[in-house]
Amino acid sequence: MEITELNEKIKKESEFIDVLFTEVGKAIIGQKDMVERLVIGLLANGHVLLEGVPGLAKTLAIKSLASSMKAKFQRIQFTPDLLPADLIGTMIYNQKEGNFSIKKGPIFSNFILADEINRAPAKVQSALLEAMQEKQITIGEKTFKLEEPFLVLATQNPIEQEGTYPLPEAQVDRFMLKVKITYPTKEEELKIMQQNVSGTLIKINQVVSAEDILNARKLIHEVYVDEKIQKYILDIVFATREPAEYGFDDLTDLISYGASPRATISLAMGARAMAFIKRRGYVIPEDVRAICMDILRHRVAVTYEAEAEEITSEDIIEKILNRVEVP
Amino acid sequence: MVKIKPILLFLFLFIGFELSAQNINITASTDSTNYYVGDYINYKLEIVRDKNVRVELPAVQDSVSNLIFIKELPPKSYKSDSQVVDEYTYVFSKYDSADVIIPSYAVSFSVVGDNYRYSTNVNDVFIAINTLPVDSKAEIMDVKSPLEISFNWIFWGIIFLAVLILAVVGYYLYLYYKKKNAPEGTIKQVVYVPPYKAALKALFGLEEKQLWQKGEIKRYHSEVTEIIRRYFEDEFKVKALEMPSSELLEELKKVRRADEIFDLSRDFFSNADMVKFAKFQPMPSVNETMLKQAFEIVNSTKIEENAETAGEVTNV
Repeated sequence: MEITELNEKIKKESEFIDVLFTEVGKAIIGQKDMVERLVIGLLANGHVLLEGVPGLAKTLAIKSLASSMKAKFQRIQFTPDLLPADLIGTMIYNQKEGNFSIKKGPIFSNFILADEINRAPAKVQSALLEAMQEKQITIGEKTFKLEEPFLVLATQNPIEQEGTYPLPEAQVDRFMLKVKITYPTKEEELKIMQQNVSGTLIKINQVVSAEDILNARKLIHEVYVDEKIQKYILDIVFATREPAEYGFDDLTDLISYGASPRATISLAMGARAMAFIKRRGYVIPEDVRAICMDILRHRVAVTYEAEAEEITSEDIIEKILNRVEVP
Repeated sequence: MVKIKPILLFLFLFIGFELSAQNINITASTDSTNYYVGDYINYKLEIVRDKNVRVELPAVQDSVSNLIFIKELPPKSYKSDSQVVDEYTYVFSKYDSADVIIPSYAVSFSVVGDNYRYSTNVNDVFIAINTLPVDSKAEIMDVKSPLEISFNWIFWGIIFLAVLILAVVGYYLYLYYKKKNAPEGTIKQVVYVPPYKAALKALFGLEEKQLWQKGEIKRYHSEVTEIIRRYFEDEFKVKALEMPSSELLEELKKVRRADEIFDLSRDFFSNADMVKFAKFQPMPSVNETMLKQAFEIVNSTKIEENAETAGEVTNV
């Protein structure tokens, strides 16, 4: 397909994006980046982990996004006493018929809001993360395919670490994006206050269907990524693994391990989704850079030395982005 | 009848003892019996012996432990027909007042042809060490100031010469090793080329390559944008090579002649990005325009004092 033709097609097929943003924007004031990242996760078929202090509308944003779609949505509040069966379902003995029947859990939905994921023990996290990866659930002897689109949007709180079960690196890696939410601006907060004290009930309309999302996903695979962009992505990822080879000697002692190949794939897919949102049929370096931090921040581990100097993975990624030559 | 046998025995013993005593005579003496604290005490041993007597003197400085040994003077010896007189002088001192007895000690000797070792004791000597007399009526004097040593021109002259010689040798060694270790051809003159000149030279070079005419359109657009990015980096000190076009344009809003640069660069980078990343096949006129725009960006943004020269270059 010619690029002009693809551009036209994408412009046509991505019309729902604006409607979606408008609809979510009814409930969420500001936090444009967060909503954009949620949509990118939705379009790129990647799960999203939202991190932020309480009260930043993480849950509301996910609920609003789910409400704006004609799809099944379930919210699961993760607690320390939650069991895998509470999530995926279980076999229940039917006394009348004298046999076991399957009771499906809330995970059998299109959108799962795993609220405060780090409050549930490892076995529950594992059950969820397995479903995220395999997109299927086994209850007893029966395996069920999860319905597409299937997207897990998890939240976690960076404070109050007592009594929590932090996700291991291998499991965090399953999330395509880790989005950090910051406080709204003064103007945004004024609007939030006015909207909430007015007592007006905000109704989110279902403006996007699951079909729209699946069609968009197909189209995103056609978005053109030039060789130069591919090389740029590789340069960024490899710079996190072998900084010395890129002349970033000062970062060698700060990085414990770099981003995985899953990060490379996610970066390419995320950049494509970003290009789609921007109504383009091709990826430009801006798309890569825009999504890079959210894709890499949970995939680059820092050393004790870096921790001692209060250098975070974000600082390292920023340095890399500012030094790797743009095509 | 007088008993002669005990008398003979007594006489024999008496005569024999007298003979032995005459073989050697050792006398210890000092040059005085009264000394002041710190004075040198010359302790002399005079040994009068037969020629056939060999004396083995002990270590006198060890035997006289109550004085401080200073030195030993060279021994003297006088000979007559049958006897020899040896004189040994040891210098001692003492820094406390006291009555001192230089003790008696044994001296061994032997007679030639006799395997027996004899010994005799040296007499002890009494001396008195007195404190210095203090004249309490005299005026109290201040402590003597340290002795002034006069400047030794010869000594310091030698030191100065030695340092000078070492410095000269060190300098020549440094020059020698510097020359020896310097790789050939490393000395090069760095000539500062203003960023606009470097950019214009590169643009002319790109024009000569005729890349787009040969079908290498993507490479042409990559190179022309890289030249301009490098120019911005050197001229305006912005990290143009590490920024995507939109970020670069934002950054250019902060530099001098911002509006001019922004307007010129926006289309230039936008077109190049389309070719580089979107498989866009531009018309030949677009390719030509790209180079013209690049020249225009450089010429209109270069530093004032160089404007005339650069203008001439582009009109060639």
